[in-house]
Amino acid sequence: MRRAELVAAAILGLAGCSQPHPIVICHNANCGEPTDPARDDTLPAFRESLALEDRGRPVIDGIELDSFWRGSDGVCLYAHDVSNFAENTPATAPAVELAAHFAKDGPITFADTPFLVLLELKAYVSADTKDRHTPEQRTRHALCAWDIYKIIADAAVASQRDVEIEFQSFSPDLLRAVIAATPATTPVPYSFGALQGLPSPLDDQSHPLRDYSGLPISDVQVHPGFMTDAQHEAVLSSGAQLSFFWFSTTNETFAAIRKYRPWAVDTSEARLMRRWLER
Amino acid sequence: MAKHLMYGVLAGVAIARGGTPARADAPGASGTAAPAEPGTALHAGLNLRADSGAHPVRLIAGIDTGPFDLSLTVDPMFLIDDGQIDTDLLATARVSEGGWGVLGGWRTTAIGILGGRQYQEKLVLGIGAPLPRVGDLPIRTRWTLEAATLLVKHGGGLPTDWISFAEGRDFVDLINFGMFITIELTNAPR
Repeated sequence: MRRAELVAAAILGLAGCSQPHPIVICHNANCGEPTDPARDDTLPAFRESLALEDRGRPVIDGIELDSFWRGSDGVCLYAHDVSNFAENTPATAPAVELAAHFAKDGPITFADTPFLVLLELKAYVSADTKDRHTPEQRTRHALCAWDIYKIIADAAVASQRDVEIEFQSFSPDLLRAVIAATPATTPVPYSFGALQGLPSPLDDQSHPLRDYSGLPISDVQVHPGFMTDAQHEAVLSSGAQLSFFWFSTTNETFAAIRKYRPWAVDTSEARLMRRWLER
Repeated sequence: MAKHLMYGVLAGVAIARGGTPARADAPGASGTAAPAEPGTALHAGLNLRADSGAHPVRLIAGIDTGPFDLSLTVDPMFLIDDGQIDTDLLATARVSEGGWGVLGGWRTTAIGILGGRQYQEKLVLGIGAPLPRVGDLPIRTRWTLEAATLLVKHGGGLPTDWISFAEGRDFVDLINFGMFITIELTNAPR
């Protein structure tokens, strides 16, 4: 090894700058480049994302599926929001297709780690993000989430796939409703995650972590561009793991992953992230 | 490569002292610089920042005509092999007697990925101001606040991705603010 390389290795070692290796989750089931948020939580993007491969391996280690309770007609949708009022795909639709994916031959994750499904329960019920669930809507949304769980879990068992499911939400009350509706049998592991997004006034969905008190939160998913060191410390002190979500990857994103070393990254550019991680 | 960087720094020092900018590696090189235009000064030194908009320590050199300053910042930190190279070409137009200026330019960040590099092209806009000079030292320092907007990503075998403003999710991550200071040797008169 040349002297310069030795020095570089020493600097990297001292700085703790070795390449991190979080698992790669497909954000909003729409993670093929180029980014196009208009296709978030749509079945065509979901199918394309599941099929992403790089050098003969699946690019992703898991996928995020959003469920949205539309309050006006009491329907549980597969949707990011109802900005498109023509949206009518049932929330269970991608789970049915995921079951078929599990039944295919071949690996379903990049490194044969368990396939992680993030089931996000959207925290509002109309186009207005301040329009929150009634208690009854919370219960029905929670039951919808368990319906999705059952389809995925049954498929995982039938196909002998190693699958884990995380219920996550910006709303602690929704997670409490999910826990309250836990079915008698749960054939695959599940966990709970809190979301910390853009701060107000950019977005009004995030709750402080103290609002999740009493919930068995094992994952706090944060937007790295808006995370403060205090938030990071709060996550660590809560005993949960840190993960990231974001929309478009910049060098600031890579720097944050190097600095904070999340256990999972929920990205809209899965191939870019995989190629950066494996470089 | 480290040798080339050392030559670059030596050349910068030579420029600041009014010596020839060429061939810093030439033994005993200390020739006379061509006369600068009236009011024109050369500068070279460090571009430093604490945020993650670019590498924290880079090398900068440029020319200051008084009303207008043009600088190039290059990145030696790719030597530590994090796969990233940040290069800036920035122009500053002076807007006050005190030296405040508005800044515009371009930053190319090359991100090393498996199979190549992705290039992230950013429009950089900002404001800057001089910091007080220290004694009679031929050193100039400036502070700059920037907004860097990632306009397009390309390369690395991935599809080209342009910024869009269709909805917030399209661009919220692509506009980032940062600050940097430059500490440079200069041949500007006091």
